[in-house]
Amino acid sequence: MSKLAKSKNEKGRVIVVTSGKGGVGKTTTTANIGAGLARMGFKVVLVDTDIGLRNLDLLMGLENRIVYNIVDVVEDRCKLSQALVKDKRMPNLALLPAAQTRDKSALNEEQMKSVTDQLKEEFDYILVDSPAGIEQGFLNATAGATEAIVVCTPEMSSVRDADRIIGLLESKEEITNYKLVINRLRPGMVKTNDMMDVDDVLEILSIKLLGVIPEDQDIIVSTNKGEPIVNTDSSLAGQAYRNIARRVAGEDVPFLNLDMPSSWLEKLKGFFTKSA
Amino acid sequence: MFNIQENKLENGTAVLLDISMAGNSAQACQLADEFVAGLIEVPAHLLVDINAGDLLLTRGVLTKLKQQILRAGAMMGTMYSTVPQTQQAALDEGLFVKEKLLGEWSPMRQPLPMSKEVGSHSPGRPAMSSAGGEPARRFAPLSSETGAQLPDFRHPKPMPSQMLEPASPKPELLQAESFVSLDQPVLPEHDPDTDEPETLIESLTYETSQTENFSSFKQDMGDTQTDLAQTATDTLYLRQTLRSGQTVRYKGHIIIVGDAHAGSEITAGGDIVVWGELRGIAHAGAYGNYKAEIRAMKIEALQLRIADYIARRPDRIYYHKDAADHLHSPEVARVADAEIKIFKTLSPKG
Repeated sequence: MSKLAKSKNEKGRVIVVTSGKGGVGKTTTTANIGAGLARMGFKVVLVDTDIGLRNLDLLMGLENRIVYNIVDVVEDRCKLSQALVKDKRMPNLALLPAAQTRDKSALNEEQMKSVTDQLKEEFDYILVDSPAGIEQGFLNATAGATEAIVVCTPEMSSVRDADRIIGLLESKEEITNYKLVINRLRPGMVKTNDMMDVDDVLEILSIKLLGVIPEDQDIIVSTNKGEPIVNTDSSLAGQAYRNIARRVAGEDVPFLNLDMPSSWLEKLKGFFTKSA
Repeated sequence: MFNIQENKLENGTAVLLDISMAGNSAQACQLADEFVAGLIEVPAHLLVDINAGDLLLTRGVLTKLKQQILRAGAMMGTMYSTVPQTQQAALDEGLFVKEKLLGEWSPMRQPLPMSKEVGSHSPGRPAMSSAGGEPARRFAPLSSETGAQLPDFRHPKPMPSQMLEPASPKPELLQAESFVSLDQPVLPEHDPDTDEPETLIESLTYETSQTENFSSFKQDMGDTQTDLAQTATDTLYLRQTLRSGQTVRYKGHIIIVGDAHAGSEITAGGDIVVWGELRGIAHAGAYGNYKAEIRAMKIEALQLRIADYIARRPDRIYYHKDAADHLHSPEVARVADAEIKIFKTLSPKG
């Protein structure tokens, strides 16, 4: 397929996307980093472990193509390959959906590990979307993972939960690498000191930064349409996700300047200060 | 059968229900049932103390017992038990706990509700209104579970004892034999002349109070008979960052090289030293050593506890970096003048 794709005997990377708190953008981040990596030519599979409250399929616009799900796989009602849903835009991107009619106890850690072990053979990247919380769902999601992406928003409650999650990840020996994605940052509010800035969050969590996603209305549109925002070239959030995908793949990409001038006047000012 | 002792108080009747001879928790429940059934006319504000003796009761059983008593229209008083598990369960259930019945039973006199409004306080807590024409002082409840009360920081002086522990004696545990003797200094006395220069910085920003449920801390630490000489030398050295939800408990001193984030808990029989920022909860001298100290590069703790003193951080937003952050110097918290006070151990430069 692509020159980037792994060689036969090389195994894929299992990365869990988690946060502790709900509603901070785990699923959006999973979908967009996955789509971003697929755009770069990698073979990627997204695994939804939020059993009972599945959303990842909606974000990918694949809801109506689901026949089997991850619970069917572990309960031997189908083969793993049958449950994988191929993305409609990119042939090298697949989704392993969660069951909607069951709950988190339908899966255990060994079953999850065996699923990710099988997926490792075929795919370059296995991105596992974790449910909110620190119970069985979280344990399942992290079972087969060796890397983690922690998502948080610049709010105290989210940061506190992220801290708890990082503590739990640190205690798992298998997970060797975990980085932070700060989602829904509003540069305007940071400027007026109404929101924690990136440095505040990093100081509290003392963890490496993978990327910062600005608050962007286009994300809501893209979620409703079932089209990941990385495919929208004009969006700043899309650009931020594309950069994160490249950093995940090991490229050294400088952080975006989110403090974009909003009016032509500011742009003009910026032009003059740059040339000065 | 069960034993009942009655004690007429000024402000109502108290009853001691002795179920210590019950063989198991089922029988204990049955005894309570019989007791409740035998109550023909419940006097107003009947206080029921329970002596569980060496019975092992789970929290579920205690919940049931409490419900039976509340349903009968009485109030739950003190729980006497010699079993740590039962004591812990009772604490979890929000009950007053004493280790054992010492001598003659004297019920813990909690002020009874004066009016309907005040009556909404849970029975396990001292009422907040003060007697007489004095205006009621505002208390900040520390936690509904421990029942500890904190004075308002505008009244930083220790509350008069009848305010803090209304009509109740000092916790008996302080006099119990197993308790660490406070007469023998464990750590060298702090001598301001020879030690590093220190300046008091913010005794007022931490609100101090003595907790009544000190027994729970001691039980958490396990063996209360631990040799003091040993706790003074044993040290746990950890080179890691403590994150939210992570706890460290040790009978001796604890040294942590790294930060202690908000949501973490450190409990030590001796001193606590954090080579970083302390933002979680730190409890030094957990066996009752008032001379224990908490040291950190920067103390931003949610709560500081030394022996049975508790101090909490004032309510404020704190995530924005202070411009003068780099001027911070190591800080130490210790009990002074019946309060937890924080001192800077070096004067900041510049």
